Amino acid sequence: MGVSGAVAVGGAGGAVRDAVRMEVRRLTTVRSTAVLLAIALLLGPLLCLLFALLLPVRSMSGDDTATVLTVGGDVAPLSVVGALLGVLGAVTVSHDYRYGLVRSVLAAVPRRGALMAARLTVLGVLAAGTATLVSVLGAVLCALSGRRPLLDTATLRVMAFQMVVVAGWAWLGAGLGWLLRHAGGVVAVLLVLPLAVEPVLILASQFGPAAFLAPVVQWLPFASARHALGRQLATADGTVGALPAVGAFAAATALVVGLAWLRVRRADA
Amino acid sequence: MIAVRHLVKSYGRVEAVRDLSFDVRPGVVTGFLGPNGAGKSTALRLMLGLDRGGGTTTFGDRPYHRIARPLRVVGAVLDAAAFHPTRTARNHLRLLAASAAVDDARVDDVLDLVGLADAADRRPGGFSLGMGQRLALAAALLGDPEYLILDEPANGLDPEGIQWLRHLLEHLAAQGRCVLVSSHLLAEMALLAHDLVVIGQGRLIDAGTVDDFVGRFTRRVAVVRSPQAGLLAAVLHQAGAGPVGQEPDGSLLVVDGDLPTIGDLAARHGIALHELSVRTPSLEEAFLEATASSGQYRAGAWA
Repeated sequence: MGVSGAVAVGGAGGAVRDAVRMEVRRLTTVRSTAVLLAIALLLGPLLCLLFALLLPVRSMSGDDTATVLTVGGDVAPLSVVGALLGVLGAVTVSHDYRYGLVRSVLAAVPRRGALMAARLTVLGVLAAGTATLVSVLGAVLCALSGRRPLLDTATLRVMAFQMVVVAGWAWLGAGLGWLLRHAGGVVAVLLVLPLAVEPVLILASQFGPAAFLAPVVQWLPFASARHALGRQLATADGTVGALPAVGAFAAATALVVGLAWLRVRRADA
Repeated sequence: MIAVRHLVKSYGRVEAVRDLSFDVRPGVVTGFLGPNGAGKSTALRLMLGLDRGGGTTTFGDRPYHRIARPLRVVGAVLDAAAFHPTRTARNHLRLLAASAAVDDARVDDVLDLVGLADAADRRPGGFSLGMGQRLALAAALLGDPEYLILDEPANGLDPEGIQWLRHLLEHLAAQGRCVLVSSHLLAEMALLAHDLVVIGQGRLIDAGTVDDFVGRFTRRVAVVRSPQAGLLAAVLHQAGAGPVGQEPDGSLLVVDGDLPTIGDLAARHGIALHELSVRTPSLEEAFLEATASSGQYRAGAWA
């Protein structure tokens, strides 16, 4: 080996590109990624098919199609594909701390903002791609089983928002991973909030003493994610339309990622 | 050269590193010594910008965070077990290589260099501490860096591995690289290092060559064995030599004793000598003397 010269290349952009290359390799060389994506890509389309087969009629309406191809994302409190990608985001980040990799990674990419941006980019692309693939495979399975989905403009827009929502789940998982540094804690938050905390608040807001919560609860993050997958972009009756809902979910995600950035920037590795 | 200036780091009210400054010269191995809790690992992390604190460290003329693709310039071993247990050794290195656009062929080169070629496709979760240490060293060497910072790199290595590491680091330093190595193995450090940086309770105690350090913190002792030890001790005392101590086997120890002077005195008084030699002070003795008041964690007396 000879003594190398110091290689001075690129700025922040170069650092992000290098970090993206590293993150792609990180995600593609560990088993948990493959397992979680396999579950999403097997379970998602099968659930699409199951929902379609449960429909009383063979021709699916636009609402039916949105429900089926988002794996119930517009009605269920928890998005199956989103939750799996959220776990992937959490595991990707928290394993750095669990196995002491964070120092090696930050030594390789000392610009912490570049590292976070790269990881969120790779996770976002992976999540959006998975969401699309689940919907496409679900649509194919439905068509093969004789249930023809209605792929009109509104449905395609729901699919696009589904990509955004699932990417948001992955970013929430990563953001909470940076904040909590523990995969178990992140998964607990990602399950307890949409399955317990938000439904209880929404239910409580329908009764006298907590009625003041009614204008607020519809903007809760996971409720917003659900509304974002509706076919109505905006509504006139005061209920939340898809466009403001996707904005509310994105804002909640941005808040978590922003707090994570503050922590990562200031904390010791 | 690595220039470390005014490093400071506190954890709450505890000052882990206090105004620490030193240089690491190219071409030689520099040992970084200190008792447990002295702040060595914290200082190394501060140098790489991994911990948040005060002060600056420059590699050549640039701080670490200003170096593009830093793995090509600075290689570091900070933790022997810093890998995902199910990601193979080769993939672990490939992901780090990707961050610095290092060719994948280099991954196999460094695995071969550290003796892990046969374990390249094994998951490191099952590695011994020594194998983990070799993998960490492979990661540090990945970018063929000009600067190496190694925290306890000999931990877990067997004697053959320690010898191999010593030869490797000597070889790398001889190529003109800056090599900074922290270690608790003082005998090994005495063989390996040319320069030393010694710290205690976060402060610099001494920096310079090993010989200067040993000379500064120990005193030369002459060992004299004689069948007339009592008489010789009295003669030495009268001549102002010493202080003079006595070993259990009867040998006299003359601190700062000059051998020709002792020999001449004995001859003048007709005292037979069976041994007249110098006990070379060890790095360990110098280290213990230098850090006597700096140890944070001391065991109680036993027996």
